[in-house]
Amino acid sequence: MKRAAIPCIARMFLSFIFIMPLIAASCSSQQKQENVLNVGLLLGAGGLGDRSFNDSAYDGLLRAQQTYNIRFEIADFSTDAQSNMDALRLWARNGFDLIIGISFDNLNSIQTVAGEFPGIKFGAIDFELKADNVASIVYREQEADFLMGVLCAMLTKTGSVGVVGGTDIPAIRRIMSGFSQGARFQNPNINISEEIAGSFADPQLGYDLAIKLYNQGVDVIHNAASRTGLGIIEAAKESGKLTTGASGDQRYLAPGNVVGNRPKRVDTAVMLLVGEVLNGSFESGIRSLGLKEDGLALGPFDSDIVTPDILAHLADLENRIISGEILVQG
Amino acid sequence: MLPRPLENFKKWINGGISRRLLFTSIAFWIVSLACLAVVIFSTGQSEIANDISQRNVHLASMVSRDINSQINSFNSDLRTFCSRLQASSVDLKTQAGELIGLRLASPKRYISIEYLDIDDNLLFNINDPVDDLINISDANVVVDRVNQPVDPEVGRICDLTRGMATYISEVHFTRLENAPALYIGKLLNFPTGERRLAVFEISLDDIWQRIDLSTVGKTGYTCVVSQQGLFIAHPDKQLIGSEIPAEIEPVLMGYEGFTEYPDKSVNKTILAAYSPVGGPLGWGIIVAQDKSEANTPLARAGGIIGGVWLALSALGTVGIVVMAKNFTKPIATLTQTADSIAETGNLTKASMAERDDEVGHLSRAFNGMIQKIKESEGRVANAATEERNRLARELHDAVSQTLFSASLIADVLPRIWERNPEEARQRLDEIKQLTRGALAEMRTLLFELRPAALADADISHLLRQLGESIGGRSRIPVTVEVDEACKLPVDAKIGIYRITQEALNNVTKHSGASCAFVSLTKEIDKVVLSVTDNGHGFDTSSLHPDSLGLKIMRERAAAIEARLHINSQPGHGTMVTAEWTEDSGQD
Repeated sequence: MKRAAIPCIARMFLSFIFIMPLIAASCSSQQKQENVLNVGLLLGAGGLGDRSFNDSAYDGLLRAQQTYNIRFEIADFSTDAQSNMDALRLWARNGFDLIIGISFDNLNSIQTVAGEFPGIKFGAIDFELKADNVASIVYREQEADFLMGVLCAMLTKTGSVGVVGGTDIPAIRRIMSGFSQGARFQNPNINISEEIAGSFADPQLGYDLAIKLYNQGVDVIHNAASRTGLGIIEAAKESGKLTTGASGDQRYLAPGNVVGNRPKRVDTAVMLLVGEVLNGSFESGIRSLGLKEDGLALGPFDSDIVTPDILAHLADLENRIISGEILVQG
Repeated sequence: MLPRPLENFKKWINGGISRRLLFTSIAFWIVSLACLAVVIFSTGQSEIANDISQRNVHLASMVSRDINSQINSFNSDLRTFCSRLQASSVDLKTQAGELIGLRLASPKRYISIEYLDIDDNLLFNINDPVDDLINISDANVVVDRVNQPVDPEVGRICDLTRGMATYISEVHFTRLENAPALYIGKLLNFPTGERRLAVFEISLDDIWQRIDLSTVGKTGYTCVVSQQGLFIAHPDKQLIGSEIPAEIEPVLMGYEGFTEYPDKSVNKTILAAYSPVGGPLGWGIIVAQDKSEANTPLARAGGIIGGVWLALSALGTVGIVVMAKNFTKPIATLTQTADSIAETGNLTKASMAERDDEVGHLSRAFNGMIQKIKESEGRVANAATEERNRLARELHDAVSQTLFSASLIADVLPRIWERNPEEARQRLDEIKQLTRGALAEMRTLLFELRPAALADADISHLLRQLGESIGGRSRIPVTVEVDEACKLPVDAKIGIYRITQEALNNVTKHSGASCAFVSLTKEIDKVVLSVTDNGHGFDTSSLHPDSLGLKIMRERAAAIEARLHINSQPGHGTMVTAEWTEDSGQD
């Protein structure tokens, strides 16, 4: 028995020696490859550094680069439509996997170039565009602006709030409508002043409008006017009244006067589109993102103005909107 | 079967437990070290190669993202700049002024700028050394230069730019410095309706230098491949313009990953990681590294592990040998003790009985055995003394008494002879009877001393002798009749002898008979012994089973599987019979 045991152990080891390399060989592959997407992004007016819409889109690209390992190029929005289309065409000619245009400004450029390159996938963020190779993503702004309306109605002392939009486009209409619904939801007797500035890029216009509203007794203005809104903030600072920020975090411009904002999550939309192209599940057509899809965010707010009680109330309403209990009309 | 030295070695190994353990442990270390080596050099090698490749992929990815963003910035800067050109006055002097400003702002980036009308006629170009440009006071100096012919390459770029508005060329190397560069062609649409072309030659020196600096380990380097699958940046300048290996072509299709391929020129396997630059250029970044470099950390780690392993295994072997010695030494001591007992007969005890382990148990068991042997040795000596005493008693009680009687008779015989010859003759017969009895008794005693003799003697001889010996001693005449046809095996013979002996003893001691009769007769398949006397008999029902030597007879009968009967009635003598059936003794 004892003498047989030694060769038995030896045999066991020998079989190990032969099996090990097989296991090793099966475990390791000396080759690996993954697809790297080429993404082009045409920015909206304002460009990078706006602490808002465009920066959020860029965030989305950076996140997509980390998550999906993409290569991306961005092109600034130019007032010369030809130049924007040139940029889009350059990418399309070179077979980019996804070309995204953000903001309503780019509607025509994307529409034209998407028509010229039917084989290329386009993304249209924050504007509606129906085409076979375009995935259009819009926001149900009214959902977040409903909450902003509630917030402003809670903050006002005069019982009078205002909302200033940039230009008369569908998105701004939705914002104003949502805001009014929210303010009335909170206080049915509230006095709401709605103004359209006529431009997104004229701070002076915003300033004049805001001063007018504050003089009329409005003490909280909801700002939906992009760069024009900078004037509103200036006016709030001067008259010691409140305003919300445009889509970026603009509290630093007038600490104590800027309540906070409700940014659109362009990054969510960018991530969504890149992920779909990578997975082969790109879907053309128009979709909307709301609170439920993480397409809109609340805050950050000035914590001196917006107390935890108010935040809890907003969070409760947010959940009721997400669950469909409160339906905000567009 | 095995060669002689190996056979001897095997013999040596099998000669001791500690040798076996030593051999087994060394064999174990060797085999497991071999296993370890195999695992390290197969699994480990591919794992490390994989790790290196993964790391190189990350490097390639970083470099390609960096280049992508630089090309992107070239492109977007020019886009912005051309918007400005289009917005400013269409006259050549203003345009030239802007372009001089551009070149002066980034003199390293813009090597030359060609400015043409829509029909490819060169309006002016700016390729002056930067120092000269700084001293140009009036842009007209540039514009007023004599028209030069258009470089054919620039002409080709213009043709492409006209259709595309923006065209980015492949890499080329400048004629004088052999520096990498590319062209970006731009179509300028002025608000006045005028259309012109600008071709910017952009230096890639910066990027290429950084590529050259991006090395990994001792052999790893970075290179750039063009959309056409040619090397456009490579540390080995000879290879620029040559085709890339087929294994890394996926990078041209926009894949990132790694692979390995044999480099035949240096006879090495190359680990290649690749990552696409993306953007309009379609370049790819390759990070290549000699696969043998993957083995360096492995060899180092393997050496350390092997060394530690060897040291530990040596320690382990020493431990095993010490343990084996500790284990076999008491066994050797026990063996020595047993040997000395065998040689000298001195019953000494083993000394490790205080140990708690198996060896202690063994020693205690050994000592217990020695104790038992000592005790039984004493009993054996005792038994021998008792036996001697018994024989002495027998001799005294029987033979010496008989001979004493005979000598007394012989003493008085002469006088009797003179007085009454007839009586003397009777006395002489008596002497004869007594001496014959003594002789028979002596022989019976000899059988007791040497029981083996019983086996050799004939049953009739034995029974007659018994009769004579008893008769001689007790003066009870015993008649013995043996059927000569009785053939008995040794066991049965001795059993019958003993039963007869005991029965006759009973006759002499208890019966008060005047004569006894012993017969051994053969029936069809059995032999029947009967011992009869004419004594006063007894009531068999009052007989105690253990009395009168009955127990001895029963045992003897049972041993040879014979049936024993005792028939007796008060006043009518006693008959003891034993029936032995032939097959019964043969199982």
